[in-house]
Amino acid sequence: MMQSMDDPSSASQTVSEPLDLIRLSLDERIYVKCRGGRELRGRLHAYDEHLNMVLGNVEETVTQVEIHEETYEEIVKSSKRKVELLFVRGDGVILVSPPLRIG
Amino acid sequence: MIFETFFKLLCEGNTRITVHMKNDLVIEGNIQNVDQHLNIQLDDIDVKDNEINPYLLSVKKLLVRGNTISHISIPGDTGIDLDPIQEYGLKQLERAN
Repeated sequence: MMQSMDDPSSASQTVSEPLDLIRLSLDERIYVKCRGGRELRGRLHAYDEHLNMVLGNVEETVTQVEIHEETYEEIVKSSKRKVELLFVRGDGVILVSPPLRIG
Repeated sequence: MIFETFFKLLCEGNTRITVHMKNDLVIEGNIQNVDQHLNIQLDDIDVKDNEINPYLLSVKKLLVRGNTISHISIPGDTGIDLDPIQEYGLKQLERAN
């Protein structure tokens, strides 16, 4: 727990624990990696201490690796879908980060 | 607290949500009630892809245990303003600190 601060407005600006890093991303676009090969990219509207989250304008990418029965080669399949508003239960979340930049 | 409040708002609007469960079951229904564990009561359900799971064909209402939910799709036009919920959540965090 943080020590009490004299200035209440600055209490919400210091980063003292991991959840504070997520607080900095509120209303920003973030990248979330979830269990089951699921990746989400959307705007963070709300979160709690369990990492339950509500994301807006989300693009969900599900990636599955299947192994061909005879040739034993790996087949990587990924599917995308868009969701306007998405509630994510925290126990499925692996990591949260700013969106990955390409290049 | 914050997400319980969020879902209670959806209940008032009788919003039709789509619950994706961890066992890959997808159930669409009107959200009727929610509790502190985020267990969700749904009405007038419609199970997507009835072929893999025909067991709920005759079911109209059900309760989904919160911890079995993977994620929930909500239509964007619910008309719910998320800003007060966001501020409420931030205040809760400040109080916790």
